[in-house]
Amino acid sequence: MVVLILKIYLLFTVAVMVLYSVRHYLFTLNRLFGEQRMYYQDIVDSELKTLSVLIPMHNEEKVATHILDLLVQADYPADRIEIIPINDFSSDKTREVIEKYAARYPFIKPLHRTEGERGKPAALNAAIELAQGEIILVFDADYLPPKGILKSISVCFNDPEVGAVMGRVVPVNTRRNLLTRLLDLERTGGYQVDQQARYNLQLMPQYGGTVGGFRKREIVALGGFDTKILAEDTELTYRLSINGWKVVYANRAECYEEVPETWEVRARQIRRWSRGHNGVMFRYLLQLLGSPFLSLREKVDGTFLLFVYVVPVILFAGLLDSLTLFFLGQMELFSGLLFLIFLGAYNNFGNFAPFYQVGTACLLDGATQRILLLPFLIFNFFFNLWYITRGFFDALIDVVTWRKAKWQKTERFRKAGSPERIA
Amino acid sequence: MAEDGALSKSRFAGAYRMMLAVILLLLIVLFVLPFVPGIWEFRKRQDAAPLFVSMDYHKYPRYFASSFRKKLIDSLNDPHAAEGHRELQLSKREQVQIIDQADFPPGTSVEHILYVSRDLASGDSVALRKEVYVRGSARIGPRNRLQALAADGDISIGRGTRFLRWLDAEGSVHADEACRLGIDAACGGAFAIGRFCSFMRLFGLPVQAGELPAGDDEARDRAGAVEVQVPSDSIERNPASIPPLSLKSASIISAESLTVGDYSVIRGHIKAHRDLVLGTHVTVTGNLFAEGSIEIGADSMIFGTIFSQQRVVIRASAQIGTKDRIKSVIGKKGVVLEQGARVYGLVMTEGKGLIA
Repeated sequence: MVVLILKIYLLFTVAVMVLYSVRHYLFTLNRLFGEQRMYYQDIVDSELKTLSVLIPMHNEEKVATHILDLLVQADYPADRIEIIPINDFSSDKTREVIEKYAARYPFIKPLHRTEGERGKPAALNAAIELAQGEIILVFDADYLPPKGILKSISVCFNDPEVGAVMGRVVPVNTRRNLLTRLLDLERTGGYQVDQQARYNLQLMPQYGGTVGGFRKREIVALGGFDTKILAEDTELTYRLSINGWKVVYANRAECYEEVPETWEVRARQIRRWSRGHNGVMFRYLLQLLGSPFLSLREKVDGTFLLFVYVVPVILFAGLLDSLTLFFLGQMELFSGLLFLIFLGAYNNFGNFAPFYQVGTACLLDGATQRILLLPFLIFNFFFNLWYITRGFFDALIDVVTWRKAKWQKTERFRKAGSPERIA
Repeated sequence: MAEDGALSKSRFAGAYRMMLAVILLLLIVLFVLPFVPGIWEFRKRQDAAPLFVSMDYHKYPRYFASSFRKKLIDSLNDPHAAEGHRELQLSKREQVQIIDQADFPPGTSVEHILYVSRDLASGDSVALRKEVYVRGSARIGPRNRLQALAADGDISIGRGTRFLRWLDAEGSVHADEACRLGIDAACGGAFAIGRFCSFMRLFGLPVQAGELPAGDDEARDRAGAVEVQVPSDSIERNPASIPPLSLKSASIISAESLTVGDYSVIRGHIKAHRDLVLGTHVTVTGNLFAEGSIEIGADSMIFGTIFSQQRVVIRASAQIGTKDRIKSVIGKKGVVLEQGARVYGLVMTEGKGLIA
C-alpha cells in the first residue's frame, strides 16, 4: 500500500513537472517566434497623471542619496509629481539624508515613521494616506531609476483597465561573484521571457512591488496592503486581478537593482518570498477561480503562478520519494518506450525547462557570453529547492496558527557614495 | 592449468578495474564538461557587466533629428563655416559638404552629408544619399530619394519622393501625394500629407491628412466649442452596444467588440477586448484602447489617446487631441488616416501607415 502511494505520488510529481515545463516552453516559444504585443511606452500625452513616488527606507543611509539624486532628474513635470521617502524606524542617518533633499526640493515630502507597525506594507499604507497622486509608484531604496522611467510607467494608466504596472529589474552588481551572476541570469529569464510572454499572451503578469505602480484610488478602495502578508506585491496582483483590473508588464521600463551578494542573504530572501507567496496562495486560490472578471486562460495562468512556490516542495518530496522507491527496488513504474518518456519528462523537461527560458532571455538580450554560466544554475536550483520548501512550511504554520509574519529587510551591499554603474 | 586459470582471473580483474576506472573518468568528464565554458567565462569575465540600461533615455518624438543636429553642429564647431568639404567625426568619420544655398538640378546625386546654411531646393529625381541639415527651408522636388532631412524652417516635399530614414522640420511640413516618409517624420508645426503617402511615425501640431483648410487653426479646431469634462471615475462593464445619441458619463470596458452609435457623447474612456467601432460625430473625452482594431467615424472628436494592438482607421474629418492636448494614435499593425482627419501629436505604427 505504501509503495503504491509512493508510486502514485511520483507520477503526480512528474505530471506537475510536465505541466510547468509545457508552460515554460510556451513562454519561451512565444518570445522567440510569437507575436509580441505592443507596449504603451510610445504614447505621447501632454496630460500626464499625477504621481506619488514612494520609497520605503529602513536604515538606507548607504543608498538613499543615489535613488533621490536620480529621481530629481526624472523627466516628469515637477508640478505633477511628489516623492515620498518613507523613513521606516531607521536608526542610522536615513532621516538626515532625506531631510537634506526635502529642504532643496519642495516636491520631496518625507514621511518619518517612529510608531505603529513596522515593515514595507505598513509603511506603504501610511504613505498612501498622505499621497496626493492619482498613481502610486514604488521603488525600493537600492534601485537606480533612469530618467524616463516614470513617464514610461505612467502612460500605461491611460488604459482604463490597467490597475498596476511592473517594469523590468536589471541587477547592477553582477560582477561581484558567482551568486550575483547567477541571480542576473534568473532575473533575465524571469523578466525578458516569463513576464513578457505573459503580457503577450494576455495572461497574468505579476506586479513585483518595486519598479512599478498602481492606481491609488483602487488600492484604497480595496483596503490598502495587508500587513500580515509578506508578499504584498503578489497579493496586490491577485487582489486587482480578481476585481477586474489588469496588471501589465513593461519590458522597456528598465531599472537597476542590487541583488544579494552572499548565499545567507539570498537564502533569507528566497525563503521570505516563498513564505509570502504561499501565504497569498492559501488566501486567494478560491477567489481567483471564482472571479467573474478573469478569462479561463487568466485563471489557469494565475493558478500556475500561485503554485509556483509550491512546485519546488512537490519536486523535493518527489526526489525523496524516488530515492525511497529506488532503494526498495520498486522503480519499475513503466517499461519500454513509456519508460523513456517518463525519464525524459522527469529529468529533461522538469528540471531544465526554466533553463531554456534563461538561455532564450540571454539570446534576446544579446548576452552571448554569460549564457555559458547556464549549467551553474543547477546549484541555484537545489539551493532554491531547499529554502523555498522551508518558506512553504513557514507559510503553512502561519495559516494554521494565525502567526503574524515579521517583515525582514534584505541587507544592502553597496558602499555609501558609490552607486555601482555600468561600465 | 591452475596457474593459467589464476593468470587469466588476475588479467580479467585487472581489465575490470581498468574498465571501471575508465568509466569513472568518463563520468567525471561528462559531469565537469558542461561547466568548463562557464568556468572559463567566470574567470575571464567577458560578459560580467550589467545589462545595458540607458540612464538618460527619455521619450522624445523628434529624437532622431535633434540628435543629428546636435552631433553635426558640435562637430562643425562653427555654424557659419565657409563653403567646402570637411571630414568630421560623427558616429564615424564622414565627408560633410557645407553650402550656403543649395539648388540641385534634376537628376543630381550627392553621396555625402550636406550642411546648408540657408535654403535648399531640388529638381526632379534628385538623390541625396546621406543626411542633410538645412538651416533655412527645404523645397524637395518630385521623385527625389533622400536618406534623412532636418530643416530649421519649413519643408515641402514633391510627389512621389521617398525618405529612407527620417525627416524633421522646426516649422511645418507639406508632403505631396504618394510620398514615402521613412520611419520617422516630425515637425514643430502643422504636417499636411497628401493621399497615398505612407509612413511609420508622424508627429505634428497637427498631423493633417490632406490640405490644411484656409483660415486654420481656430476655424477647424472644434475643441474650443466643446466643454471637455474630466473623464468619469465610474466604470460600466460589457454593454452590448451603445445606441446612437447616447450620453454616458462613465468609462466603458467591454470584453467583446463594441460599437458606439452616431452622435453619442462618452465622458470617459473606452476599452474593448476586441474591435471598437465609433459611428459618425461621436465625442469621447477620454482614451480609446482595444485589443482588436479601432475605427473612428467621420467627424468624430476624441480628446484622448487611441491605442490598438491591431489597426486604427480614422475616417474623414475626425479629430484626435487639440492644440492644448497633445495625444497619440497608435495602431500596431497599421494606421489609416482619411482625408481631413487630424491628429494633434503622434501617429505611429509598426506596420504600414497610409493616407487614404
